[in-house]
Amino acid sequence: MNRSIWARLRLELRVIGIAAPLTALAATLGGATLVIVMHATGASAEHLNLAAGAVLAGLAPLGTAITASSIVGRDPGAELVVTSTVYRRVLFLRAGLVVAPAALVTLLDAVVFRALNAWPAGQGTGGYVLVWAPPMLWLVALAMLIAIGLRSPAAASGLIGGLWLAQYLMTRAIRDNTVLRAQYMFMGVGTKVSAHEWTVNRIALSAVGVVAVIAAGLLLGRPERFVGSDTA
Amino acid sequence: MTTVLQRTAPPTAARTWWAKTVAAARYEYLMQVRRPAVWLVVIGLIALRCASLFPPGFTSTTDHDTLVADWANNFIQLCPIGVGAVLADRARREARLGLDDLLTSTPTGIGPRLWGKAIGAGAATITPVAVAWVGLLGYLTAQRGAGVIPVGLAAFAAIILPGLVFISACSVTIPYLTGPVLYRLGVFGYWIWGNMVGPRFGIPTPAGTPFEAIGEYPAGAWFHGFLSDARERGITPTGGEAVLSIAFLLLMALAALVTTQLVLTKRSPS
Repeated sequence: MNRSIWARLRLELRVIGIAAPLTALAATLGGATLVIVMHATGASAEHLNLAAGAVLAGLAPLGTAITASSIVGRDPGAELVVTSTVYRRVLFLRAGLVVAPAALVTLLDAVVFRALNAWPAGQGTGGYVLVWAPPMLWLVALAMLIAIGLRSPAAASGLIGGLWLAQYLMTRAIRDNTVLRAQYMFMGVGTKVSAHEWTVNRIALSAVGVVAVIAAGLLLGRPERFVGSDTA
Repeated sequence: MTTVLQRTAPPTAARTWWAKTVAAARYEYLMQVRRPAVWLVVIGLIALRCASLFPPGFTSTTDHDTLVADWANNFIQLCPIGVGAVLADRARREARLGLDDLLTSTPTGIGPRLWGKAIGAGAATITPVAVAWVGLLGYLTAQRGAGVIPVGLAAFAAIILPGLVFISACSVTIPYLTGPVLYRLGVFGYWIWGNMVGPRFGIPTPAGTPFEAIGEYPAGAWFHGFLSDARERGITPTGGEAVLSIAFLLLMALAALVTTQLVLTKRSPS
């Protein structure tokens, strides 16, 4: 990677603030610390597996999504940015600065959890990525879409947090519905699922995530929406 | 915006602390209640929870107390997260817009501005909850008769309101320290840990004790509402414990505001 790309990344990092990626990391690292402490204090295998799954499929995606959506509307001089560059590229690059470190650390969490034998039941090597990456893509993409669509990180974090908690509270109702089951981000956490159900769920989460990214990109094709007002 | 400014009388040094606070609260209320995000998030989260009501079948009960208590339980499960999220950016708004110096030069002072923000923005964010609750009471009145109304109003005041006041006070004070993003993550974590992670998970938590914010104690003691974490602890709440639960939340809200006022006053250059 040449020097100008590093300079650009440093510049964008200064715009979003170092607190943004650190906040995303705080969620995944905090969860990992909890699992390690539980392991060190002799927690039961059932509780350990549940906690590891909850951190990977729940906490890490949530922290990353809330933080990624917070970068929307950070440009006091948005009109200057949108007239000199492609705003879609700028915003996606900034989101990448939040998501990429969080994804790498979550992958590291998964490796550590497996080494500690704190691992969701029935997950093989593919679980290193599949346990957390599809829920993270799904939640981050939806959060970005809401934040960009409403020009409101506050709305995005509130709705995404509520959606996350609703999935936890209404597990039974969601799992009884074929369509909602495919969008259930805690699939396999604390319960065994069939290979078919797992595959459908992972593909469906990823597909909706990709569609949400595309929709967000289309909305960013009209960057003038971000000029001239406080967030909604 | 112009209309709001014209309607709000400018506070002056001659006016009392309370008059300045009311003026600030009025402005903050009007500013917050007009944000589409406030209505969308709060109503959206209430609707999301009510799409799958809990406990199953409670709507067929003939006891008005239990009916409204369980509805209140459904209202308060998700919406505090939304209330916290949309209030979190109020704390540093003036600094973000570069208005701190200008506001410091006015005779209003830090106290009235902070309390005005807490009362006004907090009330505005709770307004969609109140509107949704009134709509529900209208529906229940059509079904069950006017006897639901007084019970419903009491349930709103005892079960829903204290938790929302507590979250509102935290949401206009703690982000001064943490910033809005970390606070939103924190309030989410608190709401799950402090109100939904029961003793069965083996993690120390206030859930199921009078120190939770989800209104389980008033609901159980006064309205025969559904008990979850308290029952898991083997507790059937009494009237005294319900009073303790509400008093704890209101005192914590008060403590958050007083502490923040002291810190901001100490930091202020004037």
